Amino acid sequence: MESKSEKLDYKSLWTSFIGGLTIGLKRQKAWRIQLITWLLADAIRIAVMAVLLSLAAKSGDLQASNIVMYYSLLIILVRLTTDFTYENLSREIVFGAFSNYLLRPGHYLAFGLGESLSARIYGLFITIPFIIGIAILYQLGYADFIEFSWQNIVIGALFMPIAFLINFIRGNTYALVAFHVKQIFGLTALYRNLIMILGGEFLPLQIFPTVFFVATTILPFRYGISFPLEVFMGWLTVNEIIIGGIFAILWLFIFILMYIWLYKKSVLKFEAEGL
Amino acid sequence: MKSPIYYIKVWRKLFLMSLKRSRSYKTELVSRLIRALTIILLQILMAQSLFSMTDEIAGWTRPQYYLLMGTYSLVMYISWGFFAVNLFRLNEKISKGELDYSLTKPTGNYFELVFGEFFIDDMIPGLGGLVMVLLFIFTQPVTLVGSLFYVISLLIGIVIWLSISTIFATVAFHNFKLKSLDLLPSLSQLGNVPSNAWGKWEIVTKVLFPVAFITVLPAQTLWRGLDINTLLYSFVIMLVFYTLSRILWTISIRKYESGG
Repeated sequence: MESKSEKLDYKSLWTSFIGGLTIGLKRQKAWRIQLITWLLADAIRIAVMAVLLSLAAKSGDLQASNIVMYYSLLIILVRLTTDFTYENLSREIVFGAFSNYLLRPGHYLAFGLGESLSARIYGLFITIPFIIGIAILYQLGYADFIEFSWQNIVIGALFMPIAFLINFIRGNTYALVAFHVKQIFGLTALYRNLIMILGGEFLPLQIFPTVFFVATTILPFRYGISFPLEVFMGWLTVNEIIIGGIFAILWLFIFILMYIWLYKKSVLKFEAEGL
Repeated sequence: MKSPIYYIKVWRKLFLMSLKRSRSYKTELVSRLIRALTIILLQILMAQSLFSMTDEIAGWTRPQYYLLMGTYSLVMYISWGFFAVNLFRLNEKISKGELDYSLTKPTGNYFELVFGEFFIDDMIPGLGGLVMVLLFIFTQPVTLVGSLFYVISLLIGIVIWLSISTIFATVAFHNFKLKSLDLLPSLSQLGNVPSNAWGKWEIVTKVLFPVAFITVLPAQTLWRGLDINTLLYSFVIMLVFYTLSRILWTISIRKYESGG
């Protein structure tokens, strides 16, 4: 008889995914009032960056309105592609609650994917005011450094699911470190900071020194947020989009393989003793 | 009503417990130190990128802006160590029914819920800020008196930030599903921008949401020199906001109903 670990039960995986999505949506609905806070927090962040960056721009080309547009687009992408399931997962591994997932049918990753997608669905509500804001600014002509075209929008939209999957698989691969290192919370904070810096969530990667920018084109973080954004903005040539796309898909496969290998090594070490 | 000495003694025990915890969790300590280094590098990278485009931001030169960033880091991470983590956990305590136990402690609900634990690990990333401030003090013409008033302004700023955080946290007693404290990291970013940069909106950063007194004023005290009127005004703001936060806390905690 084949063991559960050897045979991939697609029906169980699908059930896990739907379970995660359903539970996630119900949880998001119960906490929906929190959307107001997140919306305000994002709006304030845009205002701060708009003032700071427009003060710094000597030539005056970098107008506050352009920065508002850039960060509005960034926030839309962050809300739709960023994943935080790794934080809960690492905590559950450390505190011994991971055994619940081992007892369930299917796979915890499918469940987590459903949960994460439920958060993206609710994230859509936050993006609506920013989409309206972008449309208004674009109509008023405040899009000097953005070259919107339907081709860029379609290609950018195609890279968004890839960006989400990169963030999801990368994060869950990182979470497996908790099987080996129980004191994970400081590392998780460091990991979160690295994603923000190297992914272009904090400042556009283009304004950093060239060496730094070149490094980010090789590392996987850019493909989780900044790359789809650059495609949307029309900042990349066709060749750059193709090369970036190859890197994105390559990193996705690397993370999938890393996850499979690390999970097999890690789950054997799991002892539900908690901290 | 217990004396301040009592609370100092209690807090000293909390501090020692935090140190013991740090010794037990050495890996956490190391990763926080690495994170402190990353944060310094990020701040340097950000400042260098901004100043590659200009020589000054709202009249602040590069060393002065580093001082502002360092002051911001110091205030924020000291806050995380002393009270911010405790306040962030308030919603969770209420939703899990763990608040009742905290309300029975002899230290009183305010001390227990705001200062009940000390997190030395969360203060460690503030080392980067301290380095930036010290670099400014040792490389720029700064007087001893200026440094002293910098420390006083910083303490005033921390109490103002405590008051603002507490005001936001009291929302949890009315609706624990609304994590209003999630707004604070974004609002605190206002402290990274010189207050005069806001133009006619500067009044917001000095009255309604006095973040100017948390970071900008202490930094200005160090490089511009002491403006006694501004210092006194910040002290008044501190008293007003602290009093308001305590009143709101008292009113709000009365609305709390245990689910257990």
